Amino acid sequence: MLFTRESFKFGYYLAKRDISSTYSRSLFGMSWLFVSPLVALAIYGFVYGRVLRVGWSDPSTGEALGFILPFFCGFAPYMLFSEALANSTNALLSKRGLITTSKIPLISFIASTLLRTGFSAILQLCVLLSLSLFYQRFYYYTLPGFLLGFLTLFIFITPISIIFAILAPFVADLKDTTRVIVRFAFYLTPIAYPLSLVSETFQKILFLNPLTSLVELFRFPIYSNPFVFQTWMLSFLVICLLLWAVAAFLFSKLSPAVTDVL
Amino acid sequence: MFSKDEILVAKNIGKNFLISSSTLGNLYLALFNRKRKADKIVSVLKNISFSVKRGETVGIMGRNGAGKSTLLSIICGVIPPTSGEVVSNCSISASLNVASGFSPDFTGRQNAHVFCNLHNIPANEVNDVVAKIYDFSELKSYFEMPVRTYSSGMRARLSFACSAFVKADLIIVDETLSVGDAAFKIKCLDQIRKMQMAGQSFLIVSHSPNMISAYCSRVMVLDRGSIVHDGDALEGVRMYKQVTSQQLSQSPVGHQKSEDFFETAKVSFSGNQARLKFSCTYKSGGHYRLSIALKNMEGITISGFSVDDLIEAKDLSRPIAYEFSFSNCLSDGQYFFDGNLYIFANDEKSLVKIYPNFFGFNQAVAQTSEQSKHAGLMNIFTNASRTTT
Repeated sequence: MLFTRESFKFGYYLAKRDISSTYSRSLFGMSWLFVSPLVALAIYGFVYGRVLRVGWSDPSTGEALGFILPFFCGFAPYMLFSEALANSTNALLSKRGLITTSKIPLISFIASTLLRTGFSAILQLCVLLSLSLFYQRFYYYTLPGFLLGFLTLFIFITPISIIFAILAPFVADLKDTTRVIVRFAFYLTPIAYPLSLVSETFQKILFLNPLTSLVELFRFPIYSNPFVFQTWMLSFLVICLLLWAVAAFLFSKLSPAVTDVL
Repeated sequence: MFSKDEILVAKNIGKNFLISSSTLGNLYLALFNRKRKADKIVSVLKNISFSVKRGETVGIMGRNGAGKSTLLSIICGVIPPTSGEVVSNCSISASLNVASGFSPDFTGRQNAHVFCNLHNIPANEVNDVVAKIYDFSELKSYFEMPVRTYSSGMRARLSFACSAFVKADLIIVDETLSVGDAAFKIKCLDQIRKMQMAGQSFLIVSHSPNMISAYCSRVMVLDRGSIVHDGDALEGVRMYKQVTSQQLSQSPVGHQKSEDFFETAKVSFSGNQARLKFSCTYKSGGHYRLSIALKNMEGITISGFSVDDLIEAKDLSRPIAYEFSFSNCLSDGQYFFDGNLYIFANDEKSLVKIYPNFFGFNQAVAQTSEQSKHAGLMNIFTNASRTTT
């Protein structure tokens, strides 16, 4: 059992204190949590939507969906993925003093980063729902669809967070590697462009990237007919299971040695 | 496992660390349970076994690197031992060095809350405990500021206050009282005394023989990862001093007996001023620098001085005398001197000899009469000069 009630208790506590101590010193406080994605949305909307005229259409009806809403459906999980990855590589390293002098379970620090990402996820959900309403793509299944998307996202990023957090004290290059992964992930995932823009062969390659599946999953709730089974859902599930197995193995092997290297 | 009154039992504790050029060595060891060829394993704790009884105050002494802090971290469950086990049937509150499990970005109050949570203080009691921590630590407005803005003394205040007020069966204090002002130290020691009277158990790490002998009923002395003494406190302090002086005499750089160099020394005290005269003989000519450090029994350098001298062939036949004036401001206690002799050659300074612990004295005794000993006796040096004999 990786996560226990106790580990979440400390994780929650650390996340709460981290968020409050971060934003209490900031001039605009927690409004940054909304401002950052909205500014990014405006910039991408202008460049891709206006200048490059990129847009999506509903797969069932062929109706044009524009750029902003489908883009944000992909951008929201990507931002959460990159946030989780960046925070995870720092999860243990930044709390070195606390880890080497207190008995807080290691997994609590990872739980703390995930909870912080969870907090961002709630805000992203609010933005997604607002945009869905604004663009009149809000159906009875939109909210449960997004919730399912976020649940799937956390099933995917939790083992990745564990792997990156537990490896970071041992592999000094991981932080820089993460930056590269995050940058590549943006372009190798159909976030700012629809899948239909790329060739079928390249589409298959894109689906090797599990983020593609996630992003597509987040777009279903704004489509007229979301109940379509796709084969990539199965491969995504297999990838998640593999990630969980690797995370459990690495955590059990490396956690006793973490304090020796911190 | 536990006999009557025992609250903590450590059995055959061993701890190894990997010496590797990169942390990948540790990754390899953790994953495959064997080390790479280029890596080395050092054993910092070897077969440590002991127990702590309820109401007992156990002191742990040992020179730097003896394994004290590693042992405490293992007892607290912060790091796992390589071999052996620690079994406890009590709650443990630890103040492991002045950083003591504090998050630097959290305020003192937030850290106190985390500390309470970590020690399973019921939610309805947390505010009372934090209020006690606030009162005792005397941090006032700093209590609401991030811990990274604290001085080491302020961290020590928070650290001790936290560990003292969370109501644990065993309180571990690791050198927390070595920093901070005298008034707060006295307050902490009073608190320890009060809690001892109430039956509280302590595990105290300190380099201070006075504190250990005054507050501990039993002392363990660690040397090179092994227990060399476990028993009577005064006997333990004696053993600690012996271990410390052994370390000095086993310095890795070449050294010779002080008699081969230092000839005579004479110190006189007059009010706030003191004067030292000592003489020494050089084996060969050259441009030398003689550096002497005054240390207390905890090995902390109080002060030092150095003098450059050009020794010619004619100087080798007789001792060279030096005279120093210094202000006499040492408190009572034991002190000793280290001497390092350097030679300048081709504009580079190289170490010739180390004269570790070449003379020790008790300030209270030395103050009362003029001291004339075989070797040096000195205090805070303000100037140095060569004199003729």
